[in-house]
Amino acid sequence: MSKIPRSVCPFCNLGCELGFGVNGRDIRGVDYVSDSRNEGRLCAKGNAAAEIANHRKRLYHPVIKGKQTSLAEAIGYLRQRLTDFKPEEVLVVYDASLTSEEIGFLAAWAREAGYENPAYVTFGPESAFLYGKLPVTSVEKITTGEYAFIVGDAFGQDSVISGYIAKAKGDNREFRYIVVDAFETNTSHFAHRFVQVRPGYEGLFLYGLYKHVANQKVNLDSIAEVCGVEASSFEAVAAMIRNKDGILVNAPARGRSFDPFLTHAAVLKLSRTLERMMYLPLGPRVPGRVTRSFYSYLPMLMGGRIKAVVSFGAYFPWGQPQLKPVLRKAEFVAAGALFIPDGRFELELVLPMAAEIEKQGSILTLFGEAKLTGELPALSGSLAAGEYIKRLGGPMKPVEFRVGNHEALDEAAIDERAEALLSYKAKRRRGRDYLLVGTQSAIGFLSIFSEEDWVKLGPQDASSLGVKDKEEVGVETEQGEAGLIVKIRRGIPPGVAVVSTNHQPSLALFELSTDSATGEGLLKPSWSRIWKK
Amino acid sequence: MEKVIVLDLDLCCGCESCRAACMQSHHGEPRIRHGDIAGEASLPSACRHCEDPLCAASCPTDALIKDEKTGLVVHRPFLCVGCQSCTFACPFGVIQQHLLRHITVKCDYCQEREEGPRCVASCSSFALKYISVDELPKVPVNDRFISRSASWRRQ
Repeated sequence: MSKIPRSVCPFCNLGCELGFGVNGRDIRGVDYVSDSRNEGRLCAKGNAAAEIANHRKRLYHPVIKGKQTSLAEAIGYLRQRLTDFKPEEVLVVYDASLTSEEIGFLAAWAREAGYENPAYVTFGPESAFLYGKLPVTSVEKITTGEYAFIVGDAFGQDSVISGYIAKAKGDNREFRYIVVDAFETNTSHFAHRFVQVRPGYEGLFLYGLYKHVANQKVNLDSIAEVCGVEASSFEAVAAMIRNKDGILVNAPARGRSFDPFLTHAAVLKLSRTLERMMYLPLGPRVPGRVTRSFYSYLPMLMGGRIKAVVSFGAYFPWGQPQLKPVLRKAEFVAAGALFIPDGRFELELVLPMAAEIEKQGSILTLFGEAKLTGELPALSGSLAAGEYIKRLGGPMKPVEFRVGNHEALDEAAIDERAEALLSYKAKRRRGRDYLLVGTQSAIGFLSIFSEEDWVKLGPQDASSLGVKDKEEVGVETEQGEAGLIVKIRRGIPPGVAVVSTNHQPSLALFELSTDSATGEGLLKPSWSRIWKK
Repeated sequence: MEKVIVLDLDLCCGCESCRAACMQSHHGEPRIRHGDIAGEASLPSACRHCEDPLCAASCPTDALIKDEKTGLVVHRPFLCVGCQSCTFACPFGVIQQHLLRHITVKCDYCQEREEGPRCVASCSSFALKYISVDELPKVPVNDRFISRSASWRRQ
């Protein structure tokens, strides 16, 4: 086989290697690299990687106030516009689309110009992964364990890793498989034991389990009652994982849990208590080198102390519809984009960004640092973030960062969070009877399969609402309203409505809150009103 | 037929990687699709390349023929008039109409690809396998390939 250009799949923290079928400069599609650690296997997201490279909506020219312009003019405009503000009024932003090297250069540029720290943007729950040092693991270890303990819908989110787990189950008849989730999914259908918790309370269940396994005093009965499980299920699960080799896969989704930080912290503690347990935090990639969360600057933005926001990421603010009113407060907002802006955010300056697969540099994955090869040419007219920073006259030496994460939450902080979650009451107005829960699935990523936005309901709720499969319903929350197509699924408990947080209209239904202890942005399940349209 | 695609029900996790891969090689129109089975299971299904294909028998223009050499049921788009007879005749429901060209499309086992079908190469849980017909009797059909899928067992 002739040599094909390779890169690393940028869509989650696994870092699967992928190849590309090319015809000259024209990218025809992904190809499979059989000698890579993922053996060429890719999930639906990985298969869509080439879609990004030559998507019909790719942005290939900068836009100033809605008008197409040249790269030189846009960079000149940005440089000029930044001089209108005092350095402390400017906030520089990045996200996981930047390589570690680019973040270093960005921080050096920001420091030299005297701007506020570069701030990273990533919603909870994935931002929870930034707390505490994560063990670097290997694929081989996944398949040699005796059990897999999965929190959330790992198969729907990252099927490559789940494929290894499924294979381990197929190869080893003794392999046991536990799933904790709020509703039935493809993942739970495979489980030997499925612990169905009340939506949003996965963190509390894991906290109870950790305390039980570590023989620490805790009122398991009240935790079980709030989680909606039998008190005996803690011991039942503990018996399956105690003194055995295995992995715990945490696959959180936006809008799924009331406290993803508690889930992550409890699992870290649990894996430290059970030395033979490995921890795999599955989810979208987080920036490899981190400074301070963008969401901790929200009060300064709302108060008018920050007047200009400049983002060198590719996904901010496009993936965060909740930020629209906040960004309206700023006088000047410039952001990088992969795709043509759809008008939701009217930004003064939009810069066309190179996709990760077109970049060169290193990114942080679950299996250590991975190298982006840069073997694919960047879309003509777009630049990598590092290139923009160079052209803005940034220093040639990057700032040295501590590679790694924030301090892990300590025992007292975890207890405090669990206590708070025990007595937590989500904001609920009369008539809002359905708890809206988010789910993230690799299928439908980039909306390549369907432009339709949906809501999944249990059959009981569907009949009480008088709706059938594929009919439209209105869904309203504190944050807004959307018309969604109903999918009736048997595994969804009454009073729960599941929507996709990959799709913009349903993502916008969740309210953005800031986690008080960490200053990270968070999307929690929220109460909603649903009616037949 | 030398080789066939088989699905290990025990391993299929419903991730639809195969569908995404098939879309990549067939200009956005996947030939392998996930069928919802009584709301209990979602499993990919592609053309079985039947020994005595009903689709070919129903085709008025001989656009679908059984290639004796390869054993594949071949679709010849230049002869297809888009009558959809094959779509109705297929007992597995795996022949669809192309959205834009108004002719039918079906799985061709990625004949142009040396390494075999793309869906198999992409299957993230090793559930799809491309194996020779001689190997078929060795496959534990009653064990792994039908009965042990958890969602079936529950029913």
